[in-house]
Amino acid sequence: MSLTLDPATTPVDGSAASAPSTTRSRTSRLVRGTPIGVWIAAALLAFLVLAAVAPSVFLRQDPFEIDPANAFQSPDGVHLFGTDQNGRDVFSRVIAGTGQSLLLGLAATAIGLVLGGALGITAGVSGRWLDSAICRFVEILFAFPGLLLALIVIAVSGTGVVTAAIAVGVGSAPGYARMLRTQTLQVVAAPYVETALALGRSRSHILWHTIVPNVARPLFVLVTLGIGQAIVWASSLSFLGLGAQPPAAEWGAMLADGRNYLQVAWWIAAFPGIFITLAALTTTVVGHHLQRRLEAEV
Amino acid sequence: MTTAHPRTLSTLALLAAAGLALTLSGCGGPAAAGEDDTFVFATGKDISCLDPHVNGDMPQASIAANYLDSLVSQDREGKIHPWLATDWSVSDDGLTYTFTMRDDVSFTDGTKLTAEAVKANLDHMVDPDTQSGTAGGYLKPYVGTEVVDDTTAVVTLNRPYAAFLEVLAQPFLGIESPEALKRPQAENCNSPVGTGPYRIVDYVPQSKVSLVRNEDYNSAPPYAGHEGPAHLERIEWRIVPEDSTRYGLLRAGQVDALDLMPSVHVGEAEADPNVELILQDRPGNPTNLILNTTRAPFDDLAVRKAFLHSAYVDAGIDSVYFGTVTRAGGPLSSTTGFYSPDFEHVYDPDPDEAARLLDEAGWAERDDEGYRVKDGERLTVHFPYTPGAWPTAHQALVTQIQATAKKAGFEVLIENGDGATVSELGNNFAYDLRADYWNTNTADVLRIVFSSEYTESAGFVPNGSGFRNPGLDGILNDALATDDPAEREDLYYQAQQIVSDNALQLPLYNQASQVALRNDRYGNLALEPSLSLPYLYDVTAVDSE
Repeated sequence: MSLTLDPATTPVDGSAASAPSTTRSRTSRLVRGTPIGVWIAAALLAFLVLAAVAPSVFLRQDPFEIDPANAFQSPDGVHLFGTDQNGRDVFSRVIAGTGQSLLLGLAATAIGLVLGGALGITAGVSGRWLDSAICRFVEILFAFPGLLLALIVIAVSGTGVVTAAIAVGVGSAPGYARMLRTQTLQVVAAPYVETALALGRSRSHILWHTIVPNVARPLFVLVTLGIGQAIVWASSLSFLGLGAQPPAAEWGAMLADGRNYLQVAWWIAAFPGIFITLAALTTTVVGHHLQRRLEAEV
Repeated sequence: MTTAHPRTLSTLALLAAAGLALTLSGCGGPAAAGEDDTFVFATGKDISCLDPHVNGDMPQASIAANYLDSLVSQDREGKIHPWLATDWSVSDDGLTYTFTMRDDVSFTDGTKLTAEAVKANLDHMVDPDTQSGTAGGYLKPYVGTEVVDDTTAVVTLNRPYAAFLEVLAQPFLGIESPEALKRPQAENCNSPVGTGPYRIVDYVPQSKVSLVRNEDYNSAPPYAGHEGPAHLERIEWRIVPEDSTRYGLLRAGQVDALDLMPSVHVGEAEADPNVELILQDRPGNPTNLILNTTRAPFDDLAVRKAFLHSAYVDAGIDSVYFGTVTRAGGPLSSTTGFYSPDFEHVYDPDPDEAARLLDEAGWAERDDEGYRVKDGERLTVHFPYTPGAWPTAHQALVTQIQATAKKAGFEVLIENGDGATVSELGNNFAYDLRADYWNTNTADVLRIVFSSEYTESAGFVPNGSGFRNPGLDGILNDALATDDPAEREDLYYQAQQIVSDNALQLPLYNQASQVALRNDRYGNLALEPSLSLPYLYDVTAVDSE
């Protein structure tokens, strides 16, 4: 899906013309108006992304190399985050797990968006009968908490990273479906859709060239917010032993590994836990900020 | 007693139970347990069915030891004594056992104990519908029981079975009310009835079992410390799978005793004046990873040997078990009769030998990730595993074995799944490695874990290697047919030799009872002798002493 939005080609509504026009004034306003907390979050997020894309920048030890003689070492200069029950370097494992966790979050969000989008947009542009059928279906799915829905998917299709991504995606789809339906209904009622209709464009042309791009605009925010949630859910699945399999360095799995050693070696569980929290927090803070920006612009 | 059997709960449910326990540990003061004379015991593994005839996993025997009596009892030296049977005689050919029953004992549902109960129970254990892997497995030579009169039962076997009385002494073969056994299995699983010191009054699956004292109890075994009713009025048997939670509950005083004491906390518990540790190695087949010989790659002896030589177990026992368990290298635990130490070091770590064996077996090349390949196929070992069913330290140990096997070129895939899934794979030999153990009080365990007789599923498959060797089968049956200790010693030595030569298992460590008791409140918690299970009958409150 396309996440790049060009205001010039995607009219938002009649007042779009009043939006700031030059790139320079936009950027400076963005810098001045951004709270320090968001900058910190953005910096941390950049660090996580770098760790995900190029873990070798940070890796000092092999995250999979066991060394039982040096198990349960507390954090020090050699092992920044200490070692785990198998003598593996916790820092290396947390860094190595960043890629998997972020990728899982992204993939799950993408799956959720595609599924939810298909349902929501179809409902929004369809007639009363199909719309209410889809709405009822989504409401039924809503009756299950998202994580439970994900667990049902796992129960049917087995454990593993790929299934976990699909499961979390399916679990989050009802939420996206409902938001995107509402969004679609607003767009469908907008004057430019009427204009397009009046110009005699075909229904599919209007759907793909007018409705979908405008519905997609707020998606960017949804995605940033959704990734945080998806990371937490995916970690939960791995924590339950249903996601990444050993010896994978996945945050949730590491947290599960360390939980029984909390009283003697807190660092085994604490650092993966901190990183899960960081990933969820930073994406959410940045996402919220973008959302406010967008609303202010509109 | 092996681990691969149908369990209805999933990892999730285990964690949910643990989560509940965690919540419980968060509220309430320290003196919650014991106040109302309820002894709270926290067990680490879920109980699939309270009737130990069905399936047959250690947690079932553990609780059964408190509400069931057995036909005979065994002392610490292995000698057999009377219990519900006051006397017995064995025919010269070893095929007929005549039991004389006590006539003054009743089940807690009011049914009187008669010879009929012997027939009803043994028939129940061998009934295929019972899916009795353990008790039924032990009774393969059983033909039938003839009830001569109220106190005389004659049991017929189809071959001599020297270990018969020994297995009868195990709680797995405890005697239940014949009336209660007539009910549907699901009902009997929830509320089995025995003649024991306690009776079951409530069972909340995956949570707890409530027991109350049998006020009419008059059939204590010879090894018990007293006679008549138990000292404690009520027992709550709580299921708390999460290791740290279970130990936390003990420390907080919310439970009075626990089993499967987490290794990581043993040092701390030893230093705690309020905690008494009761540790005892169990006889049988040690905790192990069994190699499935019925399919590639472990159908090749050289590959099996290479795998055994690739594994570093000692380092794991030192690091994650903190030396709280004893290493085992041969097919029998060191406390088993006829155990020989000669097989302890046959497969010590030896990377060069592993490499040589794999080269010879045709797995000479390695791929980009360092795994060995043959004809384009990677040397992959599938290992379905239920983390929730094993101690935390075991989970770490298998990860270490995975890592050392990788150095030799094995790709060990630990595939986490819930109990039911893993058990299903186990029943169909759809694995290369299976985590196992078998606790029993006789060297005849070799026949159950390695003979061709036990390669079919009865709830689970006892012989997870799928190994079929007529020579071994013959030796193990010959050992059951003789009373001569020297001859048995020789035969069991040969059997251990064959098992070791064929590299069927990677033995890890001896199974052990690891019980912790709050001795500021209670005392006299002993282990019953047949399987070293916690025995609460003699437990006394410290105040009342």
